[in-house]
Amino acid sequence: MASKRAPILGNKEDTNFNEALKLYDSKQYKKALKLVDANLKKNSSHAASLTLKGCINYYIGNKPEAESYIVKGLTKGENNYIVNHLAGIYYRAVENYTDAAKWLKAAIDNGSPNKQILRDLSNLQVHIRDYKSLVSSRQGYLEFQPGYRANWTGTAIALHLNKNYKGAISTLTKIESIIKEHLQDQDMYEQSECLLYKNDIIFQSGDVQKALETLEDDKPFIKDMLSFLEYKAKYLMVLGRTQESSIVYRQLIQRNPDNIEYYKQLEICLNIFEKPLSSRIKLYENLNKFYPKADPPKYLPMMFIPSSHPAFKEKAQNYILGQLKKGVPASFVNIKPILKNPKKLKIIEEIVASFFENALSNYDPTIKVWGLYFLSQLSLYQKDLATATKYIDTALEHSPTLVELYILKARILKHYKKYEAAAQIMDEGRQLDLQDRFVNSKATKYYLRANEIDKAVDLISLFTKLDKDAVNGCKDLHTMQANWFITESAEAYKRLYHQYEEELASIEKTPENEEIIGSLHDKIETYKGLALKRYTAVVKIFDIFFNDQFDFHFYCLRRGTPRDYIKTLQWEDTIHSTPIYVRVIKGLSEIYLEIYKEQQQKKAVEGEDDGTTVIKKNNKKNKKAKAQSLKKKESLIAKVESEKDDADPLGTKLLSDLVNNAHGNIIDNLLKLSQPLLNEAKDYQFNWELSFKLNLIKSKYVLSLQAIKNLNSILSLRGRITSKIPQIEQLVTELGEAVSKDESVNEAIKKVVKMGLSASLSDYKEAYEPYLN
Amino acid sequence: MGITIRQADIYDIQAIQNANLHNLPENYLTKYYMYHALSWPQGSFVATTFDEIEEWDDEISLDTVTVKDPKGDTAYIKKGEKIVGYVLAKMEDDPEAEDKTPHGHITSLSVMRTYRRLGLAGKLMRHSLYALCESFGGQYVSLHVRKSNRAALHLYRDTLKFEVTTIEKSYYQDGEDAYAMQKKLILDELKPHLFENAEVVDDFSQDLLDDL
Repeated sequence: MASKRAPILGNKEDTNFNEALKLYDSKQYKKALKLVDANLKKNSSHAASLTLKGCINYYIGNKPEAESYIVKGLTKGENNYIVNHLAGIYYRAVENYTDAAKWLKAAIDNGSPNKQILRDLSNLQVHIRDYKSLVSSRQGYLEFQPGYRANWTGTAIALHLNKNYKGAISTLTKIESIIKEHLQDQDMYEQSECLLYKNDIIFQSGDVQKALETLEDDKPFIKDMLSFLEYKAKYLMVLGRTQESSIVYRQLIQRNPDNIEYYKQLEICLNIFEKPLSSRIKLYENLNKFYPKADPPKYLPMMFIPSSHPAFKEKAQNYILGQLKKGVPASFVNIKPILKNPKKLKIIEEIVASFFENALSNYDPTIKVWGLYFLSQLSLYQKDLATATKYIDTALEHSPTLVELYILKARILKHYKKYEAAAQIMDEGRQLDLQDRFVNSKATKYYLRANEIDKAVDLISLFTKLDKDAVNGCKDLHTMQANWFITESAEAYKRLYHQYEEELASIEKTPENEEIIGSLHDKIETYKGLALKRYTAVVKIFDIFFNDQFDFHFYCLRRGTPRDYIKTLQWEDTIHSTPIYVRVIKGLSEIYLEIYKEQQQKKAVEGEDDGTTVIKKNNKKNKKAKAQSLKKKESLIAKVESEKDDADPLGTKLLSDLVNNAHGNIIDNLLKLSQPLLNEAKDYQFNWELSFKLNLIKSKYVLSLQAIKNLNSILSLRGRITSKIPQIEQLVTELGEAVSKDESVNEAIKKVVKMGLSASLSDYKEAYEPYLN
Repeated sequence: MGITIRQADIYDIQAIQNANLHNLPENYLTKYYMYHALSWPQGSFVATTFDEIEEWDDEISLDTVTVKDPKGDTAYIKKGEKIVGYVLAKMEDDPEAEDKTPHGHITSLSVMRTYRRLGLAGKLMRHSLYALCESFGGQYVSLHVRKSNRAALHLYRDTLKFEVTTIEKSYYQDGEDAYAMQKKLILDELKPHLFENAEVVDDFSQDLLDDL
């Protein structure tokens, strides 16, 4: 069929190529490859054929070779739009989104008539946050296909992302008027979302009055009345129409009396802080009459009524005893924030104790158990472990089948640092309710804390999918992104190798001990590798989280959910501030810094004498031990493998690469790894502590100074605390000392550091002055 | 803090996934949660608690406030805020589905064991049902429940008035049967405050700072 069509391209090679391209598009890779190879035999520098061969290689699984053909094709035909397009497709497939965008853009610029490229290009541009270029791609595609609302929404989003509010609003308004007459039932949700999106942009542009008017005009089309009310309440508040705003917040409370946020806003509208306390108490008593089953009307007064006011005791009593009598397990946890006030803690203690002494006999005996459970937690909170134990043991004696009691008992044992015993008690609780995954998860976690990793994995595997050929659920837990489990595992492996390191340090280095030493070395290496492996798995899962947004760049335009799409972009941009991610980077950085220290020590030893013999000998011993334990390792691999056919299941290579600086200096690698935190998780102390340390090692004193400043700002609650902070004093001293000792440091840098310190950390003058004069 | 119930958004999904992995054997990838959040943003809800609130209590002096990083726990979505329960809901979007009337489906619902008996599951469900009906025109909602899960059956059948439509043999991976359940959605009957059983209803006319 193809031969009948006029050749798009001139010569025989081009015709062949054209044919090959069609075969490639219909996934007939082998046939396509034959044609391409024939082409290249005749003309080895046929750019399009080279590039297509790269793509084909990628799809038939010959991945390592693929890129070289792409690169060759591009050098021969950099201005050929077909070459550009294929290169773009290739780079997108290998998730190199920056290069993919670059080459798709080149295809357009070099005159490709294929306008579909604009759609793919804009997805890539938004993915790499090249918002500036995004606008023209989206506009270009809209001109090509103006018949779809999605393309109008896409253009508006591009403009909005560039803070071009006016452009975004007019784009959305235009499509609204075009589509008005043609809306079907199934379009009405999208219509509602797009109207609310436009409304939010009007608000963001600063024209609150207009936003409010438009919102009211569009009301008949809005299907999300929660957003409607929330927008309206907010707008009225910003406009200073607090009386009207308070009514809308009351409507919102009526819709959802369990959302604390509405109560906070209502208080602001009512100017409650200027009114007597009795009014504020009255407000909540009234709200409680409307919403007797909601939590906030009962809870919030306990926060704001001072301990000295008689109403505090009354409210606390009603709240706590009410929950105790119902046997609510969370009755203690719920009031925990109130206990930060020591006077309130005292009153609450009295309430529960007096209930116990005087009224208990009137109630069902299980109430006594919940009371003991409460008192035990209260003692634990005050770090009185003995009393906590007394209460929980009495409760357990009374109700030996109540799972919650075991959970608490285990927690108390954990505070005693009796990790094995804690795990056993949690496991006893688990056995009382085998169907409940929650207590299974708890038992798993406690076994991990006790470093009993095998037991933990066996337990959790009762609830995981067993992959083919797998001996446990380890792979499934990685597939399902069970970050809590993977992180806890990493930490368990880390504790294990630290234990073995301590053991090693206490052993005398004599020939008789050679075997023990060898096996300890082996264990340390294995568990250190596994710790790295697990931590790295979480880092990789977060890479997946980031790339997960890719399909939604187009999907949300079609689906018509631009508001939540914009939120998703923002969420992805700060995804590394997720608490678990920071914990993982913290764990990883500790291992990196240990390895760095060992590298430094090794260097020092090698520098002092010929030294190498000591190390060689050790290596020899290691080798021997390794050979012996090869068998053991195979069964270990089966247990710990985190993905199928993993080339490095134990993290051995991960570890040796770090030790040998295979991918560059370890500190540079750690800086790179922690960089996202500095951008996305600015409120964490840890990030700045790490940044200080790493930059000090790299002699980047100005960056270290910056880190101290940021840390100081967090620790002093942004200046609300004015007393000196010991940690800051310590770091300032370290910085001063390092700068003064460093002979290679440039005088100008010294000056910058000194000026920086006196400008923003002058309270710590005594700490740095001895060094910087 | 006491409990807050609110609409779930994209910032919540990691902690929802965490709660799901802790509580239930049917688990999903993050991308599936994203799919819910970006297809039916009104449909899903979370129950959260706060463990630190400073500005509500004037009696605590600043000096005693210690600054700590957020807990590195997967239940936390940000400093001090933890997800203890969720309902994940969608509209039926399978083009092969027999019934073309718009209807919702509950993908997953769970509350951490330590937060049970507060009625959270019921409240989460009511908000979700209301939203599926109001925003998406859902005429009924369906769900599956394990035959052995008596607590869930009680919640759906007795508290929320679902009806068992069929029993699906070996619905779950481990071979257990499921009850397929349904509830008809009528917006006016679903208003969350109706379930407060209050003697007085706010008609927005009174001054809340005075006696009612």
